[in-house]
Amino acid sequence: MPNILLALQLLLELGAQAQGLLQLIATAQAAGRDLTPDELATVKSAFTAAHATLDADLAAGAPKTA
Amino acid sequence: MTDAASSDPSAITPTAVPFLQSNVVLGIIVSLLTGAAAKFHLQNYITSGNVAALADYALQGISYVAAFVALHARITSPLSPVKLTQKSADTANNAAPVIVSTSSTPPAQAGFASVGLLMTLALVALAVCTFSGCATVDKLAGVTPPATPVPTTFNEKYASAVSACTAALTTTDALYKVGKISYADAMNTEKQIDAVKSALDIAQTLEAGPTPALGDSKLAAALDMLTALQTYLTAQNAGTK
Repeated sequence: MPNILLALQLLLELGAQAQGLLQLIATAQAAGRDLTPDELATVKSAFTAAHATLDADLAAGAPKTA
Repeated sequence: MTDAASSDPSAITPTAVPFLQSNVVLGIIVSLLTGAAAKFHLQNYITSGNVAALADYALQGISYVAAFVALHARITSPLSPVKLTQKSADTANNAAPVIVSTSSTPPAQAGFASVGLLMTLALVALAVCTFSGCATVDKLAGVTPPATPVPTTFNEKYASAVSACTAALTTTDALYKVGKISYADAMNTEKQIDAVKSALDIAQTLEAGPTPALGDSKLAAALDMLTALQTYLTAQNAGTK
């Protein structure tokens, strides 16, 4: 994949993630409250999903041991 | 041979399209002009806020449409305007008829048309940001776009740090899948991210305990680890260039 396409893909993906987080914080601050446990769980589940994706890709491309 | 080719009724004679009549060139020029007009806020010369915002919206829209017209012309138009120089015309008059008459596929546009393609990609990204971020829509509604929220509470800082870890995982996965980093580098990065996440979880546990200050200090330490991880990734990126 050309570098510019990879950069654009990453830009859009990370931008969407950041926008989701900023939306959560902005909503909470506008309501004058802290993040709720459910909102924290949403952030954690995104981490878990990204971790699982990387694990799967690493497992698929793991070097063969003798 | 040239005479035979020139008398062949099936031979395609290159048609000289004037430079400024090319849809690619016009699309790029209009896109650049309207994009520049929106960039430098020429619509601010209009006094009414809503009308100025509407003009801004129209300028950006025209810019995007023009870029897509350029892309469409790039795909569908068979002749390249950049080849229509005196030299290329001489070449076409002398040698091209023999070549052209043996092929039914006209040459695709090349050269600076790729600039239009790159610009179109960039504008697509801008369009996504504009229309999903609602910056222009906010202006249309006469509302000042809200400032970016800054994490202030522990939970907000914790969520931001976890989200940064998620972004690092996503980046690592994308770079690994296209072969920009090796398996060992990806594994090493994942281990560092896991260490940061563990530190964040410990900080959260401490913050919920009797001494929340400990949680704050642990969170600060985890953020330092994130900075170190960023430095590592930057070094890896520099090493692959």
